[in-house]
Amino acid sequence: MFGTVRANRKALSPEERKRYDGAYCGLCRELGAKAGALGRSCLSYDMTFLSMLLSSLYNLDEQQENCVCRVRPISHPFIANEALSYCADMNITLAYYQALDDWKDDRKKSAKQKSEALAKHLPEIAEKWPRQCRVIKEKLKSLSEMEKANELNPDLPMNCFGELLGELFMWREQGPDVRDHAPALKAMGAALGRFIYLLDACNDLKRDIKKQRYNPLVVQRREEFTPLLTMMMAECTAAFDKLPINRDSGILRNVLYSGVWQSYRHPSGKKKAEA
Amino acid sequence: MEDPYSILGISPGVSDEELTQAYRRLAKKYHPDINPGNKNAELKMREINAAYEQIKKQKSGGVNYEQTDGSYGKQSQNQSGGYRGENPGDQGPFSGGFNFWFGDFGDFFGEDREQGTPEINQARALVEGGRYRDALLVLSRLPNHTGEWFFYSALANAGTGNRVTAISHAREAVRIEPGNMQYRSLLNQFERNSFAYREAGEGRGFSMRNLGSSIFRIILAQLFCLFCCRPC
Repeated sequence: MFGTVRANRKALSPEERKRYDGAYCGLCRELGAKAGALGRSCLSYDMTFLSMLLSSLYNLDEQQENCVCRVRPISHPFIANEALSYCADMNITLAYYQALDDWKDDRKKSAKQKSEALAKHLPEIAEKWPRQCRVIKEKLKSLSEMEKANELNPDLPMNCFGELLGELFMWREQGPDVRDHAPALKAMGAALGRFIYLLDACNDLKRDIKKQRYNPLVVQRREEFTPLLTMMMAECTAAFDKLPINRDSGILRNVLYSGVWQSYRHPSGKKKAEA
Repeated sequence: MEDPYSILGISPGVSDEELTQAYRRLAKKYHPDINPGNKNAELKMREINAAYEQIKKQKSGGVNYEQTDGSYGKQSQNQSGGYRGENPGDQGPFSGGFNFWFGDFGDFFGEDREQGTPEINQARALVEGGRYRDALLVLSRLPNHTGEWFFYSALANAGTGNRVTAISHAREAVRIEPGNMQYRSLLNQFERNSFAYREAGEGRGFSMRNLGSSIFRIILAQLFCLFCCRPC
């Protein structure tokens, strides 16, 4: 589930690359401030994208500073703002459920420890973002029920995950422009969620069949995967185009038109790298 | 059709888990992905899918379309914040979904209104009235899946936000009746959006070659169909 929504670095300009890395480092710092090294270990590109989208949409002020960290020991700039703080909270929450899932599926000890350690941070986050946290919990529960029932209609789990992500995209509750943007944000998040779910199912299909695990695409025709995925992204970008995006639109479009396809393994078997 | 239980190699009265396990065991053996190019395996897998579906249907007492709104099983309470509308499974009152997929909805209802069976006419009326879930329920009771059935099922599924099913049923309608322009234009609506996405990406300097080729092939195939007027 993690890491799909990322930029295609080769197609970014040097300035864009700097901005993108700055947001990524900013998210990492937020995660560190909230949950230490454990938090940093949850860092994902997906939430970097969301933070840039929200920050651009609401024209947020940004603090830019330089930092030195263990991963990049040379001084480099990072961005800080409220959107990044929100995205770090969501990142921790999702990473918690992911770890829980890994423990249940694979019985990995490390996953169990991680979920237990992350669980400590959840009450605080849930207090700040009750709507989002409730929906995440609800939808993931529905997803695991579908998995258990071996639901072979892919629309059901896809929509479920779409609703989850759509809810996350709707960050703010109040403000004059909030109600105007909510529908497009939700539609965009939902479409992206459906895409991510479908992409994961496509990529894992062969492995899941071999391991006799749940996969919602087991009865679908393989040659339709690419057109279906394309349609999901078409819907996502149609919603995106309704939003007044002020800055970083090149980076955001890079992700939506090119970056998201980087992890797609084409049905023909060969892995498709960049577009 | 052969007894679905013997196809799956289980006895009637197995638990849901055992049923799923039996299905997955057979999928591991016969799925086309595991046996590329093996026609026998493909046929066998189709048989297994049908048998599995039939048993599931029997177990749940018919197709349960109540679940298509994304809420699942017993969990009927669905509160996902204040932006939810009466059109479950889609984006609520702000729904860009349906319009996005279909453009002007009225285009799909031709003049030949009173030609279908009473059930099909009922499903058509429900779809026109925006009662997609009810339409699906009516359709699910029909044993005969004609081109018309797939067409209205595609519309109703799209209305409830079931995109994958909608597209595959639209495609099936065209496959059954390749000469029907109404069905074809529905499928084209779907694919038009993908073209727009691809073109916008290319316009911004991204190479969309990898996605383009397969979509393009479908469109080409359709163009050919237009002239050959045979199921392809």
